[in-house]
Amino acid sequence: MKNRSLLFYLLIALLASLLAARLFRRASGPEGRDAARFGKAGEEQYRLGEVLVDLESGEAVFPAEVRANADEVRFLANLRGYLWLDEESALVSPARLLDLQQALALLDWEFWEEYRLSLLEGRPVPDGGFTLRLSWEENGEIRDEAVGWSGRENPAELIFLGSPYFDEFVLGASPADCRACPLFPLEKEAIDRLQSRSGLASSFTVPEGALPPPGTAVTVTILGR
Amino acid sequence: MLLLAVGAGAAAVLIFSSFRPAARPGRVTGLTGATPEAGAEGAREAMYYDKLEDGLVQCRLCFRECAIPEGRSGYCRVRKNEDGRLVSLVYGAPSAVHIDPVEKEPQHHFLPGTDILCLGTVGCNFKCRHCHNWHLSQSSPGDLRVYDLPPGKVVELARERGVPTISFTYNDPIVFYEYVYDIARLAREKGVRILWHSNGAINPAPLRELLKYTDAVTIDLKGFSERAYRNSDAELKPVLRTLKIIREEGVWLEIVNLVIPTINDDPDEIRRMSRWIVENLGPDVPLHFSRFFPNYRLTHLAPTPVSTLEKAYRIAREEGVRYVTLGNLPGHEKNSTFCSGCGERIIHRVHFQVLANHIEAGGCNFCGHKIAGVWE
Repeated sequence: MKNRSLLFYLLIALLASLLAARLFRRASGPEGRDAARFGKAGEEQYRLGEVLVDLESGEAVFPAEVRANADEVRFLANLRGYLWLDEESALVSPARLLDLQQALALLDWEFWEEYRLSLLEGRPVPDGGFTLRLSWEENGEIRDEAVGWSGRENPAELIFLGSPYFDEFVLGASPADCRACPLFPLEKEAIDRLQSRSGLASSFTVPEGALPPPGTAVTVTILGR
Repeated sequence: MLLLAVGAGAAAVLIFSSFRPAARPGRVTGLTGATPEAGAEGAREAMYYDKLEDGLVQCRLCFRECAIPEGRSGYCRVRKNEDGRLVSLVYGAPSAVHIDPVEKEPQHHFLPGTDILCLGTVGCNFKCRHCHNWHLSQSSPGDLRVYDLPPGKVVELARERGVPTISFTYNDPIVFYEYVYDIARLAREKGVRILWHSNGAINPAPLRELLKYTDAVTIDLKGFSERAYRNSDAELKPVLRTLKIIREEGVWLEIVNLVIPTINDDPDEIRRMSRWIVENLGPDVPLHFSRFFPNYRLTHLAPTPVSTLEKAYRIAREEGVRYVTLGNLPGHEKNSTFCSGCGERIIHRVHFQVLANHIEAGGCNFCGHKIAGVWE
């Protein structure tokens, strides 16, 4: 009799644990996960993956890491998307380029519109009034620097913001997703040509001391008008 | 004790599966059972066709009703007469498999913020000169690599990935009807929803049959004149018939209109289209105006001016369409949905991303106004 009661209580406990497990599973479904990565993060703040947008201050902020602090590079920063450009950038970011694009569109859709059209029409890309700041920890203190190296200030030139021709394939927005494919030389060349800079030079040398040593975590802020 | 051991084992399995980190939606390539394979088996006898004399068969699936001689395929290139039988050449053999946001279809009133498992094959019953997926729609079986994904595996994949809806998109699902139909029936049994994005030029009988297992449909209304449809080598009338049937059958419907300069951007045409939608389908069917970018055979045209899209928005609202949005224009205010009662922004979107959703139990959070759609 005693054994049967024990068995009964054990079965009740088992049923309770099963119920709890199912409830937990529902609570941790895809909606909860998405809500954490994308959506409202404050009164006027939105999170787009790793990119935080503040509409009140007009900022988009994302994390990056220093890859090279003295080399000649084509871009100040490259985000997750056009992977081969990592090797040609001073900073690399784990944030998705797709999310930064949406962040900029959220901050100023007219700038984003003009940026895309300028690439389609082969004009120099606009700056939209945006400026760039970098911050990192140095000797226990936060160092915060505006980027303006030898007249290079335009975030749309310093950060590769994508291509209307290739984003669909490279960023996985198209069914012909090519994120895992090597791009053919012709396509690569076309992308290179797209980024028409006002200063004509295709690359620049990072000024000495302008960036901390490789491996340092840096916060990149794109500041609007 | 045996019962106890079995029970404890079951609980352990369930708890383990519950605590397993949720898979991040992304590319499906490389998943077991979803590996692209050249020339996967795709032939299966088609539904909706008649056998005629001299080995001819007549397809009854779409408005074209192709009469197909032996050994030849129909207009869509994926339905072939093999020894007097019409067969589908793409059954279980999609060329594109992706997980996308539902907003991309576009579907803005159907489970916003959730993901969809998208499938497309080669072939199409239209030849749109602006087609953005021409590499799929204008290809033939054998041109592209395909995935070996029978219906059971598709439903399993959706469940495994925690994706609530399977969507048939990219090329037109009409042309791979049998595959869609079998997946839809199975999905219904397993509690997975079905959505398809189509040009709508399907015949009434197959349409009504498929709608029994469909939860939502997006129809591409490519204009509101036969002239506009000539750009797609197609006809408007069958599409309008389809729109009415979808509403009659009570399946959730949203309409997308790609506004192409000089092809279908006449304000009068947009006004007539909006009026027809309100009069025949009701004011609650969402209408999305999408921006054209040069593509395929229309690379000589410029992207649709923003002012044209904003004008289309105003016209549709003036004609009484309650929910109008602008697409392919990231960050524009009209990416979002506004309450038809109080005018507040109820779903805040940037491009395909939902940033805030102020709909609860089908009603606006600000004023309580009922918002048509499928919300849970």
